[in-house]
Amino acid sequence: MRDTPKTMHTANTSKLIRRIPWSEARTAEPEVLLTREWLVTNGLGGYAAGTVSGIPTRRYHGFLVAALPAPFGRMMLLPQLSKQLRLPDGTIVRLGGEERVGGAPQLYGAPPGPIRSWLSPCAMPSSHQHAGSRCSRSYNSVCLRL
Amino acid sequence: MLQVIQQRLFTPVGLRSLAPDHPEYKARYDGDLRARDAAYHQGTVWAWLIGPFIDAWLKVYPDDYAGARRFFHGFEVHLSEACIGSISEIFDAEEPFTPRGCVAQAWSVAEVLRCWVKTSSQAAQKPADPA
Repeated sequence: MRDTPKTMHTANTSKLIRRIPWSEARTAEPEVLLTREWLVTNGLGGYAAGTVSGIPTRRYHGFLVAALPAPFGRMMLLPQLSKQLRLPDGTIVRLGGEERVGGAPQLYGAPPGPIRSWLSPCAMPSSHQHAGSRCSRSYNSVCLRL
Repeated sequence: MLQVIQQRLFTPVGLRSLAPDHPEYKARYDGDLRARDAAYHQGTVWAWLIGPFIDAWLKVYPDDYAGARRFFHGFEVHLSEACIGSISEIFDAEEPFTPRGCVAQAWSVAEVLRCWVKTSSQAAQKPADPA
C-alpha cells in the first residue's frame, strides 16, 4: 500500500502496547463480568476464550480450542476448569464462577486481598508465544498461571 | 462527499451501512437470524469502514492528523467492552451503539490499527513517500 510502507508499521507498532484499566468496583456487577470477554490466540489457528467471570457463555468458550490437522479441524479440548484455593487456615476460596444446567450463573466472590488478582490476565491462559520453553508454539497446549 | 458521509454514516465506532433516512434503514441488529440478516447491511455499523473514512479524511485534509485522531474515541471506549482489548465486527446503528456479531473481528482491529499508526505523530513528521 503506497501510503503505509512497512518500515513505518515496524517503527510505530512497537509502541502500540495497551493496558486495559479495570476498576475493582466493576467486579460487583455480574452483567459486566459476564459480558466482558477475553481471547488469547496461539498462532496455530487455535485459541482460548472466555468471559472475565470465568463462566463460559458461548459454545466456543474454553481454555484450549485447538486447530488440529485434517480431518479433525478446530476442536474444543479443554472447555472449563473449576478453580479453588485452600488457604493456610483451611479456608476454601472458590474462584471465577459456574453455570449449571437450569440454574442462573453463580459468581463467587472476589478472594481476599493478596490473591485478588484472580480477575487479572494471570488467571487466563498464556499465549504460547509468551509462555516459556515448556509451551512451544509448535504444539497445541495451554499454560495456566494463577 | 466526505461531509455527507460524516453527517449521515459516521458513528464513533465506524460507518453505518445505510443512511438513517432510507426507507429500508434498520436501527438495531437484533431479533432472530432472519431479522439480523435483514439488518446486516441496512444501517448496521461496520467498524472496519473507519479505515477508508480516515484515508479519505487525510486526502481532503492532508495535514490534519490531530483531527483524524478524534474519530477514534469510540474505539478507545469499546476496547473495555465486549472482547476486552479487541474490536467487534458490527454495532447497532443508533446509540448506545451496542456491539454485535463477532466480538474480536480481525478486519475491525486491522483497520483501526492501520489508521491509528497512519495518524501517529511519527507519521505526521515523516517526509512524503517518494513512491
